[in-house]
Amino acid sequence: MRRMYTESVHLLVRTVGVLHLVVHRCDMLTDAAALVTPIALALAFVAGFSQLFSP
Amino acid sequence: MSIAAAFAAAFVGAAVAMFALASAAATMLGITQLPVHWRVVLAGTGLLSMAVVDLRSMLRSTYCPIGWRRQAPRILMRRYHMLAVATLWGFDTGLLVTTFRVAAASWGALYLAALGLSPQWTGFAYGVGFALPFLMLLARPGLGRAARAATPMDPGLETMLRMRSLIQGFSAALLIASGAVLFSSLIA
Repeated sequence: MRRMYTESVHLLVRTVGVLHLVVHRCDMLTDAAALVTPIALALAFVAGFSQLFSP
Repeated sequence: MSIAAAFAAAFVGAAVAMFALASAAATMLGITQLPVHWRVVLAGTGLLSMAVVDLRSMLRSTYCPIGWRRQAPRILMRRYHMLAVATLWGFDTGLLVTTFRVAAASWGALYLAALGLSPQWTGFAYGVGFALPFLMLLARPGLGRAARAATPMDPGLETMLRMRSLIQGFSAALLIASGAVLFSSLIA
C-alpha cells in the first residue's frame, strides 16, 4: 500500500509537470472557458466508469 | 439481457436528470452570472480538494467518504418483478447522490455542473461511462459460466472490487490534472 501510494504520488507529480509544459507551449490551452467542457466530460465519464467497482 | 438493458437505461436517465438539475440550479441561483474566471478558480480548488479525498480513500482502503453511505436495497428482488427492481436500482445508482461513491471524480463532475461550467448533457457522459462497460462485462463468458455453474464460483466481481484503489488513484490523477490545467489556463 505504501509503495502504491508513493508510485501514485510520483505519477501525479510527473503528470502535473507534463501538463504545465504542454499548457505553456499550446496557445489553445489558455482559454479556460473552452477547456472546462472536455474536462467536465472526461471527469463524468471516468466517474461513471468508477461506479462499476462499487459494492 | 432485457433486465440489464433496463438497469443501464435507468442509470443513464437518472444521470442525465441529475446533471441537468445541477445545471438548472446553477442558472436559477445566479451562479452562471459570476465571472468565468471566479468559477474556474472555484472549480480548480474544488477538484484539487477532491483529489486529496481520493488519495485519503486509497490510504485507508475505503470508498469515497463524501456522500450517502447506502446501496440499493436487495430485498426488493424478493417482493417485486426483476425488471421493475432493475429499473429502480439503475435509477437509484444513476442519481449519484443516493448511493456509495467509489471515487471523488463523481463529485468533481457534479461540482462543475453546479458551477455552470459543464454542458447540461454531461450526465449522458457519466451514464455511458458506466453503462457501456457494464453491458460489455455482462457479455463476457466468465459471468455466463458463473450463472450456469452447479457450485458457487467467483465470476470475477471480487477481482473488480479489489481494483478499487487503482480506480481511486486514476480519479485522483485526473482531478489533479484537471485542476492544474484550469489554474494554468488562468495564469498563462
